[in-house]
Amino acid sequence: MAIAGLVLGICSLALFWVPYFNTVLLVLGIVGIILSAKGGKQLKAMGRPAGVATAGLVLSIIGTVFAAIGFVSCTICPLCVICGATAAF
Amino acid sequence: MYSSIYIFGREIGTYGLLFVIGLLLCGLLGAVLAKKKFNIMYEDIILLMVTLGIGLLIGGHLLYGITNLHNMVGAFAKMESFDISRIFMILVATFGGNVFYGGLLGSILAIYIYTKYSKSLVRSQVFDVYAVCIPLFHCFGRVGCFLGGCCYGIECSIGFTAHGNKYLPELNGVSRFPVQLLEAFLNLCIFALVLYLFKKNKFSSKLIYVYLVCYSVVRFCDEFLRGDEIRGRLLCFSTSQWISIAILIFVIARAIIKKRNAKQNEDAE
Repeated sequence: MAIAGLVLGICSLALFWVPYFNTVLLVLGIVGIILSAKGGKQLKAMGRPAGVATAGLVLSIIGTVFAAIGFVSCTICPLCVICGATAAF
Repeated sequence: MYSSIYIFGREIGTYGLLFVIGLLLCGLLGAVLAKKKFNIMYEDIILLMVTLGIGLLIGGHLLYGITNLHNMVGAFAKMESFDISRIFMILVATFGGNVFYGGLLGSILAIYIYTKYSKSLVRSQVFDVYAVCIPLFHCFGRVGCFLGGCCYGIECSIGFTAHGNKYLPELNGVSRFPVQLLEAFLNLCIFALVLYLFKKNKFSSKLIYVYLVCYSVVRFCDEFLRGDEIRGRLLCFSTSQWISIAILIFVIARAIIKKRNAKQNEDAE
């Protein structure tokens, strides 16, 4: 689980700058955060080092933040919605 | 105002930027407070934050959509033939916006559901930390609104005049009261009050009610200074004012019931 989180974290951090792809990466980053956090909890419960999970968590959070800036700025900006509403209604 | 800035040649909306900065700062603050006071594991806090964020997004968009349902029905009624791009446009226009009260209620519901199934988190502790963080997050959101140009105030001689806003032409050249900045400042005051109560262990397990009372009063009053007509209205008040009244009644009723139950228990003992 922790390794999957790390892989998703690396993916989201490496590709967040690709236009339009950031929506998918936002979801992948969130899944990476969930997997890393759950993996970290499991590893700690077993008494094993949770370095991989922590790395996955950090990378997923950074990737998600950058993807979120792109998503919130370019995909659901409230001003664009207002303009869209004027055209649609 | 300044709806976007350019970083490495790419246009970034200031609203989105402040939204994410606020979310990050509040997440960090929440993690520190929860770890220090209740010794909650940071993995638990992160999982909770993801759930909370999902609730915030769904609730915010859903309430915006509910206030726009009549527009959506009207737009569909006017449609002459089946056009998928037009349907998509109507749905985006109906549910695309975000309403703070929807997000607040959605995230409270998300916390309620998450803590119901979580074995390691205590609901009242989570709500206490949440009550400290949410006004700070909202403060960033309102500054983002001010820079973006949405949620603007009424026409007023004391205020700011926007120039060259391509999204909202009605905003340009008119001096408007900076209601977004006023609400951001009042949110900051609520944050300071709730943080003080949290640190002093006052109103423990009841901080969320303190926040809800303070914010509903603030919102009810500052809605009179709002000048944007996109929000829904019912009779003399806006949707947000009706929600403020409902929240206030709910909190007062709950406080009375709790006090009565505590008194009955004391008498029984």
